[in-house]
Amino acid sequence: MMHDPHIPDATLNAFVDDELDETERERILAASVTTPEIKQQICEIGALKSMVRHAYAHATPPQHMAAQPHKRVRHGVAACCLLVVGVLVGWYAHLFNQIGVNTAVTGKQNAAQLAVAALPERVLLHIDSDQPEKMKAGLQEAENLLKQAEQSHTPFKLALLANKSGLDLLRSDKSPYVEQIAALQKNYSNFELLACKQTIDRLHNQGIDVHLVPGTQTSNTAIDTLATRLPAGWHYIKV
Amino acid sequence: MQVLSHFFRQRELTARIEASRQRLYRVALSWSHDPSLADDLTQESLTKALKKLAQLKDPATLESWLFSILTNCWRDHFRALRPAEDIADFEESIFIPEDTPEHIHGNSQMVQRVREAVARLPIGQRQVLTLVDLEEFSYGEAAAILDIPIGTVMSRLCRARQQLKDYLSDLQHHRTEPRLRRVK
Repeated sequence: MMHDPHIPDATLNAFVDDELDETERERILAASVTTPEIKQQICEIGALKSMVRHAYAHATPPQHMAAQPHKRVRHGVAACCLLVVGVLVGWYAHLFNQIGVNTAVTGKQNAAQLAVAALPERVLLHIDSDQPEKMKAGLQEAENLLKQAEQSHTPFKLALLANKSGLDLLRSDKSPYVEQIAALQKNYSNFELLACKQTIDRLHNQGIDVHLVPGTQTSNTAIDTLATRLPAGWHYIKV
Repeated sequence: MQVLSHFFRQRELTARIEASRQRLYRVALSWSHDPSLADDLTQESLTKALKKLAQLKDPATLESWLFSILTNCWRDHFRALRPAEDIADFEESIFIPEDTPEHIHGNSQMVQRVREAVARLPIGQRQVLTLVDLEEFSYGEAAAILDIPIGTVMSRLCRARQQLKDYLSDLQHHRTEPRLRRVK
């Protein structure tokens, strides 16, 4: 039985990638037995596929989110507490037909929108830009939220997370708002400053010494902070 | 009970997103060949995914949804660099970063050569090749992630592998050469 040795390359690729139907697969298999060139082509494609896979098999991100057991336990306890609070709040909201506390990520919101809805207990304000108007708006939002929580006597925490060029806001040598930040820190003990360590390291590698506003803590990466806090019920606001 | 199921769904999806970090980084690295840029793209993708999680209708499509986000981040990166260029031109262009640590330090000669060969492919071909070979997405999934027709996936993959074969032929030849030769 003669087979057509001229099988398109695309079909041979699809054969190796397991994209062909049964009939087509059988046709290629039969051709590979009778035509050494086809067999060789199939082997080459398979080898290339393996080489590409091998070349990136051990590529890992520069920093990993550490899966520390004690951290997990703490997260578990926090999740249970959050669950209980969530159920109670959800039930309460259902009864009174009001908007409940939002533990899900619903996208970009600002302080004005939050003021209309119920104020969440914890807010993560994220800035990744050094544009002066963004820095100003971020601090303004932080101040508004802290004031609002204080006036309504509700338990509240606010974390200001800065990464990329937004780190400038928390750099004591670059930020135009050092005094305003210090005033917020002085007036509100529930105000937390977080700087992305990866951005700091990157600047350091470029020979730039980074001096942070006193009281600023560092987090591994901005995404670490988001991945840890959002599931724990923090409300996200991107400036 | 809706609150409970919503809570558990969010937790599970967030954990799956976190677990996808290395896969996203690997593909971002294979596209950019710049560890810093790959890390930025990965973080950007994960941040967007966490923010837009409520928009994900079907949890079964989380992986391809994540890689679609990565594709958009990658395109946005190039739009920011070259705003006047058409995206189709971008996919046919070749982006090779200069003197990155990837070029300087390789785990082995073969890894280094394959990465260099992949970096020489036009970006559109590189994307298809790595989605299919590294992440084992089907042609249909790769087409959906990159928002291109399935025929384009097949033709780009075909051209990518042909070029890769040409680039690597020296290495393969070198590897298949006998180490001992008899001299008469």
